[in-house]
Amino acid sequence: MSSQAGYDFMCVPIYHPRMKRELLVSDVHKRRPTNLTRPDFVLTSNDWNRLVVGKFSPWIDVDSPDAQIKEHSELVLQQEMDYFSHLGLPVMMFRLKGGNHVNLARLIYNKFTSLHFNCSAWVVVPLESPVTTAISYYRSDVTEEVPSEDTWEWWNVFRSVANYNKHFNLALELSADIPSTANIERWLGEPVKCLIVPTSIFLTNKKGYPVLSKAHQEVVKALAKLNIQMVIQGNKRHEDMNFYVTYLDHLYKSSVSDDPLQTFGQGYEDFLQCPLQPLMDNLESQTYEVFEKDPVKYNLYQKAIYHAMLDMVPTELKTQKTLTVMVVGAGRGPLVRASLNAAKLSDRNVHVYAVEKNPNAVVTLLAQKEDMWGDKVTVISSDMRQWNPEEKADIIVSELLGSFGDNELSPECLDGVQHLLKETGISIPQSYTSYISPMQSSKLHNDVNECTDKTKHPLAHYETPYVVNLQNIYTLAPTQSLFTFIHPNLDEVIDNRRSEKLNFEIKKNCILHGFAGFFSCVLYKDVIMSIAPHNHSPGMFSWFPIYFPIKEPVHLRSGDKLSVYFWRLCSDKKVWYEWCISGPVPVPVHNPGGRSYYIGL
Amino acid sequence: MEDDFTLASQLEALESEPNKVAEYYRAFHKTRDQADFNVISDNKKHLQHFDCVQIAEDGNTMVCSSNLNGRLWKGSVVIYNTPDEAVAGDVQRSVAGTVTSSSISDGTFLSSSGEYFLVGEDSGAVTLLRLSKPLSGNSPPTILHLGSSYTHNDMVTSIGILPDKKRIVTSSRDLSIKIINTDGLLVENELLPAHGHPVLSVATQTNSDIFASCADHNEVLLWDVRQEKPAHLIFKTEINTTCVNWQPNSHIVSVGDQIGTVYLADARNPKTQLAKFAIPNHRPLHKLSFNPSSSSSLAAVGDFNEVYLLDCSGGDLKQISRFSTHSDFPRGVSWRNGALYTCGWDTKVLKHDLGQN
Repeated sequence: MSSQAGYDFMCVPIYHPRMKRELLVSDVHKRRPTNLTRPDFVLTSNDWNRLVVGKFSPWIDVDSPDAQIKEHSELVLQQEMDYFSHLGLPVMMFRLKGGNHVNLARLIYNKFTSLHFNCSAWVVVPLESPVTTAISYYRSDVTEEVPSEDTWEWWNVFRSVANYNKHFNLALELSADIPSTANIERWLGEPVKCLIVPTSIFLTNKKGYPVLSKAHQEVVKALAKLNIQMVIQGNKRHEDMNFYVTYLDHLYKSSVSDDPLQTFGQGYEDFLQCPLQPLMDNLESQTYEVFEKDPVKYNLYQKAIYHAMLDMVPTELKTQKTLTVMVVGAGRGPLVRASLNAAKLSDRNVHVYAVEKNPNAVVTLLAQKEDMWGDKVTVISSDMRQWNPEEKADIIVSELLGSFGDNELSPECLDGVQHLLKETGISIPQSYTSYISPMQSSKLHNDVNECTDKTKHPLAHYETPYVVNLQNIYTLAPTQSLFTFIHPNLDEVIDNRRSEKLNFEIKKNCILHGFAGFFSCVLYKDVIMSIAPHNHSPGMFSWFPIYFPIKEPVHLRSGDKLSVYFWRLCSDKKVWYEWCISGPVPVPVHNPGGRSYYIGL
Repeated sequence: MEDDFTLASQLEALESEPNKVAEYYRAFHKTRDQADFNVISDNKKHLQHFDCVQIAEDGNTMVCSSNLNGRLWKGSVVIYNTPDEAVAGDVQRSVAGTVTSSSISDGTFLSSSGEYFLVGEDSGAVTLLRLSKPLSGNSPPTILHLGSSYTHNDMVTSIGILPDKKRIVTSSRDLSIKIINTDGLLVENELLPAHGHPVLSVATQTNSDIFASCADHNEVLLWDVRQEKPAHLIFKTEINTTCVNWQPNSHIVSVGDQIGTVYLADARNPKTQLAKFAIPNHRPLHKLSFNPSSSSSLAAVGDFNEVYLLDCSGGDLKQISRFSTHSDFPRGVSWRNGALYTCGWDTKVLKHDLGQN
């Protein structure tokens, strides 16, 4: 019936919710001649496994202050979990009623650690505590303002006790009242798997169809990005149960915008990737192809080169002077093309050197030179740091930035080629700055937990930054700038080491799982290319942010000052980052000496 | 040859091949459920779990039962002419019966004649029914479904009736309490969320619209929906409450909790405990019911097989009797002319011998 109405699965009690039983005093229980619930025969195991989420009996209270209720409830819970497991249910569902569910968390966590238990859990948490709502609506004897109970704290205690086990997922229940945006945002950093929409919060539009209020729509749309399941709860209040599904489907689809960044990132949401090391490894054709798909990045470069060319050659000299442009790390040639285009647009003469160390990409460059570019381009198959031409460059163009700006060793590479630059020469990019923000994401933390590699240091996976399309996260405080590099570097002694201490004001009780890293870059004057949240270049998808994990999550309270240290350190052979926290609680230095993660020179 | 023949005929006689037990079970129920839906005329049958017995002034007795453990969690209502016929338990001698689409937790008569009555279902439905006696002919009386209100989003846990006998108060696990006008089953007041936890019981009075409620929590509230803020706390227990009942024509409310404690509280003096009695089983109470003709006796049933009769005269609570005749949890309690009737999950309606008193 529910599948005819367009539903994919259903959440049902497996034992009748009123089916009270006595398990402590065994003879009473044994004397009852009847069955306790439906047999597994009712459905095939395939159907149980695909279509049914089991709800526990609502009267189970394993956290009761009364020892007998507690003991009895534990037996009932055990009985129900065993039967769920027997039926092969994929998910069990239960509701948090307050902050004290420590024993429940322990019991189910214990169950998860047993070998043959394959059921995961959806923990139902209402967005607003009904306790405070009930009091503020109706109680005449409570005159003072009732402090609203933060249901996130319920969840936080629960999952912390259960050691952030990945089998515990959240089922958020929409309430008529909606908490503040900041509260909603914090949920976005949690492992939300399911959104429960009660039929009672639907409004009816002029045509008689159910719709949600603007505010509710926003919540649904925000959460829809996390790739969640939706559950309709409650009795039918409109003509057909199908209307609710159709409407939510529509909302869900409209929440996925046409933004190319989002379309591109689909399938990569919250997926941990190791950063590229283009200096040590040669990139593959496929990787180049992915980068070249970005329409925004190379246009920004073209614009920057164009302005640089205009500035370097006054119009009256344009016929006499030929600019020398060196593209260092030319890859398959998008920046060569950008330079040639810029020359054409600015009507300047140009000669381009395309320097590339990857011999496989040089094949492509040479092919283009032969077919299209001709004498305007010279292809140099060499590491840029070892190339010593006689001619010097007016403009050096490079694309050596990683998600964190300097993390693919752009500073070291560009320092290595600045002897090729005329004294008046320009480097594109001119400068770049990395940014970090503290973040909360159980999902990423759990994924990192599972990245253990026996060949590496036991903490290696906590001391490695990952490139991630960040979706399921909550940003705890606005991003702040960290390290800046300027090119050409005119310092007498070039030192690319950096260290910085940043302080973040924490606004809400939350959990720190690590730091999100970004970069912003000045290509030339006011041509900016950025993946930092405050000035992200629209439509550009070449870089996902970087994620610096920490080993143990840190509980933070609103008003806390989070003090973070980051270092960029160098030796002859490698470059690495170290990071730690000094307050409100100290956290040891991660990746000391680059033991777990470094970038080879 | 002969062997083969015997085997084939034997197989035919069998209902199912041994490896097809699951398919056979499903096919069997498909036909049986179909039959259940098709036979409307004779639905005079009880289901396993007797949850509620109610007696109208004219003696009409309603027995509501549910299937809580089988394939279809349905409910059934059977009407008998007298409570004693319900005790005799011969369905064939009942007046009429009907099956509801989901299991039933509580029911109440609306009129003294026992013609109109309501049941609260576990689907969240409140269903209005009428016992229809044909004016002529030999056709037997039937129960008409006058309509259902699906206003609750979770199980209806109790139904109370207001003095005008037109409006009822319903409580539900969906955290709400609703006042429903039985004319058209329209919701007149929606109190959502009435408690921060599933509402388990409401207790109405015979002479006032003010009612009490308790939830899966430790607070008992008093409601006067004419007020802007209609609720205030009258009693707080140590452990979560399960049921409330109002002493007839008085200001005393009895409250039951999860560990078998019965309290008497004064609705006029919030937070005062008049009396307390601990039922030795230490199990959740399910229902409390005052004897309307001698309001000092209070019957209590819960998640144990015994029925307790308490005396609350003189501001104290004492045990008068303990009946161990049910062989499974008793659920429904009703009084008539000083006699106590209970029904339970042992599919029995019992009349208890209260002795000379």
